[in-house]
Amino acid sequence: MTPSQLKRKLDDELSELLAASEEHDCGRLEFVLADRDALVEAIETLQEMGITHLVTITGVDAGDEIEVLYHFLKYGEYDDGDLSEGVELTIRAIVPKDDPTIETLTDILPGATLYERELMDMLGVEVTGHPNPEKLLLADDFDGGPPLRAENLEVSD
Amino acid sequence: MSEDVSGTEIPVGPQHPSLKEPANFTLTVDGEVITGADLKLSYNHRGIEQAVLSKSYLENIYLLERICGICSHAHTTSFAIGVEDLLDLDVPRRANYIRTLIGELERIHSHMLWLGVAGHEIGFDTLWQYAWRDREIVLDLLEEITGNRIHYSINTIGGVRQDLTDEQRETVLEKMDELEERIDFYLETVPNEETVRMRCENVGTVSAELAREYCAAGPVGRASGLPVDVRRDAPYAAYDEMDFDVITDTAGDLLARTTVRIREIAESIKIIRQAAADIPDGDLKASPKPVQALLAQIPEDDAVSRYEAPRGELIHYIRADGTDTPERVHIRVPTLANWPTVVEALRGSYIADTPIVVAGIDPCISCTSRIGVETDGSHGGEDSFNLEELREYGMEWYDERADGGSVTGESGIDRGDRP
Repeated sequence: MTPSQLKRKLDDELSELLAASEEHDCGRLEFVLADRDALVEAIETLQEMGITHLVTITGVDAGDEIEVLYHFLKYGEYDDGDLSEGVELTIRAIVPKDDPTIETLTDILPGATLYERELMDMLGVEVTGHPNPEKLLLADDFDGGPPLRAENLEVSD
Repeated sequence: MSEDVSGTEIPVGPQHPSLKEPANFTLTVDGEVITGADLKLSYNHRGIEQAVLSKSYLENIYLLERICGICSHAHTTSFAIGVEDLLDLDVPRRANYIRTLIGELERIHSHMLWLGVAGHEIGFDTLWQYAWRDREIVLDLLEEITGNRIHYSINTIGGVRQDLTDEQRETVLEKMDELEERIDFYLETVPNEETVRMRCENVGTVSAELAREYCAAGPVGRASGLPVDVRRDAPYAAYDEMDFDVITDTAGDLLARTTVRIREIAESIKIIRQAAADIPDGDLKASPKPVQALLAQIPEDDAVSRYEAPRGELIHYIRADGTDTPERVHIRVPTLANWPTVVEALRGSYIADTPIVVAGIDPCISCTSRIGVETDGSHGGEDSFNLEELREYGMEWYDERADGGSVTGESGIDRGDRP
């Protein structure tokens, strides 16, 4: 399945949950969720279509809101040493800064555990329902605020 | 990943002379069998993801190169490709061939390093010394081509900074013949060696389902049958012109991870030969303009750049806001992707297996905890093991079992499967 075909199919499957979708020149697909509450449903739909590999979760401070990007990979076909191209997908959820929470994926996708902890550490987004919301990358006694929030960035030029 | 499991807790690390970087594991044990494991990684926080935001794209190449002393080329290539994508630059084929060549030399040196460490962890120091001696072949080549053994500094935005001379090409081809002989030797001896089989076969098993569930990357995923290899599923540099196999196995145990890595070295030799023999003539950079002038045109956009580092998929997410510094750079290193599989593989293993199970994913803590420092005094008790002691314990434990007969079969638990 080419990225364009996959995009049409996903646009169709996820139509009620999406605010926008895009195919980048390099073949990466991007879907923006209309509402962050639809995250689990959207990921379940991906899983039903065989897209199960979460590469990572990126948090970006974008001013008034925090964007949370879920990077997925659709495996290529493997045949005795030969592997065809896969498809990269990004699901983008928007989290407002005055209520920085998002639901956990660990129930349906155990591979998300550490990435969600990283998101909590670095961007201060609370992942609700996470089984072990301890600090992962920062010290337990670190109290400087999430290092990648704009207000905590030290700009030295 | 932490679960409340009753039982004795054994803290391992964070300081241990055998794993050269700090990580702490809290093992919950029932007799000799590990029933749960929790990990702490954050002893090495360097704040790189934050520091990146106050540096120019050009300066960041050198900063990101220093995330890791093993896969430094992986980080610079991945970052450079992402920025080139944002700037719409076409990297010349010759530069792509050089990137590929250096990338594969780096993979060999990383895999050989791991083979040595793995040998050491199971008390097979001959293998350690052999593997590290032969690794020098590759390090010498890297030094000859780039001037450096570790931080090659060969990448720049739009291409590479140094050319490959015809003389160097010949040396590379000659040395690959020498190395191939050694790799054939390892391929034949290591998987059949008694010590290796005893310590690695059916140990630390990660089933295909588990690898899929935890989204494992690189050789760890491939040894459990996952079809992941960025060089093929999203070819970058010159990989779309290279002929090689993606090595997988189905066993998922430490032995499979060992053979997958050795066979991957053989594939890397194949790629290096093609890159050295068929390198096309041409420029080294996409544009004769200074890089700063190109970077002045950077648009507001984002890019995802994926790279197959020696330990698995490395991903850089780069967002540009049109200024000379990036708005966000997010780096997911392969070790982070593979930690959950270690925790699961430890569950059901014997205490004696801990060093080799941990070493089995070829962990790079310098990469993983590039963002954190942690001080936790709660694990300095008298019962604390360091990994060196644990390694000794593991060897003695297996020696005793070997004298008394069978190692397996004394416990009915199914190793590696989750409880």
